[in-house]
Amino acid sequence: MKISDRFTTRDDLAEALSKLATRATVIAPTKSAQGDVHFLPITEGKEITFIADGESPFGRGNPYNSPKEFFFPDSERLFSFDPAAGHKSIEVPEPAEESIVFFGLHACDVAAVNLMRKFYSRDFLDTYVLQRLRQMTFVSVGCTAVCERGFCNATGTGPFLDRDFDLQLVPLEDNQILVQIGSEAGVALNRRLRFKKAMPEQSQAAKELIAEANGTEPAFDLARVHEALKSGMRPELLSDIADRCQSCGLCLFICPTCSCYTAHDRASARDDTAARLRQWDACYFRGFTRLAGGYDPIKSRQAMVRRKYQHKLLQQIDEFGMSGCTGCGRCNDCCVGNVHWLNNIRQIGE
Amino acid sequence: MDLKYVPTTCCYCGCGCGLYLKVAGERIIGAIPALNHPVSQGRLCVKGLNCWEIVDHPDRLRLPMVKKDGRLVEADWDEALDLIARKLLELKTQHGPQALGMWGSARSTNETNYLAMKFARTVIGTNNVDHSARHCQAPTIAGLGRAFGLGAMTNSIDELRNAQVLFIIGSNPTEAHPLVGYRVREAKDRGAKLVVADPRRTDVARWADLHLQHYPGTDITLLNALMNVIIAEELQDKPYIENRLDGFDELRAAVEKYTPDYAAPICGVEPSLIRDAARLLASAKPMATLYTLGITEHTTGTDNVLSVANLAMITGNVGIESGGVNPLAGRNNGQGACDMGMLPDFFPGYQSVTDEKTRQKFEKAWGAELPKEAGLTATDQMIQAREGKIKALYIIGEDPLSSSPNLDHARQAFESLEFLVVHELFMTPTAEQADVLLPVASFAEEEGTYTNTERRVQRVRAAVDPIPEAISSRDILVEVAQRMGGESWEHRDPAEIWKELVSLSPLFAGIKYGRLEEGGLQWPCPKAAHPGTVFLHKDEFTRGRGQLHGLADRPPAEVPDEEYPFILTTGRMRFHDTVGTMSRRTTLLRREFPRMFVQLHPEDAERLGLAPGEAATVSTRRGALTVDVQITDRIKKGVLWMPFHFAETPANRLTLDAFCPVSRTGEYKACAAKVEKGGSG
Repeated sequence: MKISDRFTTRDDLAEALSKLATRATVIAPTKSAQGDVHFLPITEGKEITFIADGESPFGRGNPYNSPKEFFFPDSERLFSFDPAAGHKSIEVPEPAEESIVFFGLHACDVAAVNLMRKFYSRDFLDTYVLQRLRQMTFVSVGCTAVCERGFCNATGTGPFLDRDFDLQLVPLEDNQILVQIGSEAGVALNRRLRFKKAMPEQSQAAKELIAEANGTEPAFDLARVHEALKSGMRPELLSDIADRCQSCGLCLFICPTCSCYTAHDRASARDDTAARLRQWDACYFRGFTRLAGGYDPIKSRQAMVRRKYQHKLLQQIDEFGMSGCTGCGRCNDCCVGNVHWLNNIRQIGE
Repeated sequence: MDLKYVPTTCCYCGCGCGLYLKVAGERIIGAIPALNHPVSQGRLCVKGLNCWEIVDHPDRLRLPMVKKDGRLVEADWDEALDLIARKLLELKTQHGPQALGMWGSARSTNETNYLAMKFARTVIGTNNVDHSARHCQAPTIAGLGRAFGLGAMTNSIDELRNAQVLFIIGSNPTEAHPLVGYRVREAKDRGAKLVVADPRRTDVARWADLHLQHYPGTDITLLNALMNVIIAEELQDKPYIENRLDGFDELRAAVEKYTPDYAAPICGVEPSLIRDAARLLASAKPMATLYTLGITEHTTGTDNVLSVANLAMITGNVGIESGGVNPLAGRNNGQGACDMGMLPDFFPGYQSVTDEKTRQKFEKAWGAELPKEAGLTATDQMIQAREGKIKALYIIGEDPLSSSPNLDHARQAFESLEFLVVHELFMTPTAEQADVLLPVASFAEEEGTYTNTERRVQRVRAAVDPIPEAISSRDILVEVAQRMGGESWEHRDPAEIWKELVSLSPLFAGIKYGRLEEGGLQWPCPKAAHPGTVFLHKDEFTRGRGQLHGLADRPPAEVPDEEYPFILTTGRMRFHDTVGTMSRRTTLLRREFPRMFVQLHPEDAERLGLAPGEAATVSTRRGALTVDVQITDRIKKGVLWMPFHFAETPANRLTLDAFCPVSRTGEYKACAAKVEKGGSG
């Protein structure tokens, strides 16, 4: 798809988002009372807070929560039922008629959403996830440089995308913003936001900025990591990770591309309904793979912790043609055992 | 889209992590750690990440219940509250206020504990107030109180990352206090030296430069031997001892006989390892000491604490950044419940109940005459209940029929009571015994504060309304007090209760709700502009000079013999909370470790013909449990280890109700046991 670029300014954009928020759900990075920035629904453009960074007008780095929870929540009620009445009482919730504009995520998170869309649209269609994704239009902002924690240029998922986005904002000088349109949903949203057509020199400036940002030296060579993982991981590295990992699951829960869940039926003390709940699960729990009778096909903690590396940087590349890690950097600094994801990938690629 | 993030404090351990509850409509759907928080810094353990799940759990108690014909039946609130007031007044009139006891909770807010303490002292008129810290950090209050003048963690969690040397004894932080465990890992990665003393090769023991695998109950032997080497080799901090400490001669005389060769056969650690460890501990500063229940849960609990303090003091490590003596509170508000005076001998802020002037201050503020003598500890309330002297207990959110040592004796105590009131979230063995059982709001359904192990007062917030019919313990106490004639008792919001508390407690005087929005404040905080105290005893100890104590070792109350040849010790796992009331109702936590087990060494297993996963019966003179066998070389030969999280197979059926004579803490960490193949039938 090639649609001509659009153009806006920071102030006009904030105003457009405020207006939009009266008619649609707008999710954007916003600061909480305790001082953290999260993606959350906003009502006014001025609530938008980017993670401060002197050089990048839209900040760099990501809110700690990833976009995933807005289409694949931590826990959700798939259907409710009356335990006494059995299957006849099953009620599947009507999906909310909602138009959702997700503003202010970076390229790594857009790539992650793309991967999740592919994952949940294979032979089994997850209608809950796909329904929500259909309601969402993503307005991403490119980063003028790779952020402190992230490494999107190594995973081929940023700082700017060249395709598979809805609207991508390119910050130019003097608070001017070039808007690239990359999908039908992007076309539709642009129509609602009424951005003006960009001038050719603005598009050219954006192109140069993107080339510079995307052309920086990557933290590792993805092809080498992919190749190395075919023969596993060095035992010293694996045993160090296994020794540190305490199976909290956080690095997988905050990962924008981790997609595992478990499901169980549960009544609620809040009302008298019962529901089938699905909630995030993670392969760093022994209970994730342990079978009846206690048999666990994953024999060791080493084999358990290896999975994250091989799944994201080997299997998913083979399956989807894109890295399952999009370099968002959230899990570099989340570990109670000080496991550093990027440093470990570097070691694999050495 | 209806989604909000509510910042609050975790309900599990004493780390006191900051997190956000994700709230969609009227339900909590998840949790995420706070980045901008001094403890969590973007991290949480597996319990914290899953803490939201119990809030709507179908097992939540839904209505008040009263016992009729030996069965708990649902009742309405007025009936339940009237009954409590009537029975408590009746028993008080018949037997005097000293026949009643009140237990607050290391799980409940400061504000609830403050009201419970005040209720017991003014409305009932007894100092028989206590809570589960009796079996946790009571030896810390007694021991560090004597050594330093204040019985609390001296330093702060985040300081630990900058320690040069870490000494961990009787503490398993990656399991029990994961955000402390993280600082240990971080310090180690920054090059700190790590010495761990533990009968098990825990995570931190595997990370350690030196692991001293001593027998449970031989801590003083080991500590005295370490100090023997330090003093013999003149590695102690002489100027610090001269300038800041008393009692060094007494200490030197006491440790003289504990040469490594003398100590080795008693504690089971090679003499050369003791020497190396002593040298390493004295090799650099700051050295931070961490301890938990491995030190406190012994008949020598208070002496153990004093001994740990001795070592930290003679090496000059108390009152400095990234050093200190750091006991870790087990529960989210264990520290706070103690701070609030939920203790038989202290008003809030560790002000003695036997001090005439202090008592007058509280009498004036509360408009009531207060008892002059210290009350009974939870331990002694149970003993006196068994003897028929304590007639009624009022228990807020604790489960002594799972958590007390020697549960058979505990059960006899509860069966002897004439009246028992319990506030709870879920049915527990203690709740089953209640005459009145009240459903209360959970941590995510009420406002207030918790105080974490590093003395940090933090907000806890109502993310959702309480489930229908459940109400806050705070409000229940007011209702009961009013029904018992407490004319001044009225419903107030927690900020107002906090204001009353700080007006009476100089330690917390400068802490106001408005100052707690971002990351809380650490006491002592005596004035409005005071920034709080990161570490204690800088330049001067609270008591003036630090007091060293010469101590002799004593064996545990029960030692192995021919019939019971093993030492049984108990402890925590990271997937479960104390007696599992919440964690075992949490999907991912329950799934990870669903069943009780016993750990033993491969050589012991081989000798007994035991295979992994098979059933074995562990028994002591108190009782027997049939559990799964787990064979691991992480445990010392001759020692058995069991977690205490499983109510249907409670480790405390086996433990011994022998107590520290000073702190009255039970000896959960060492008793004699045997293992036999197969079930007991």
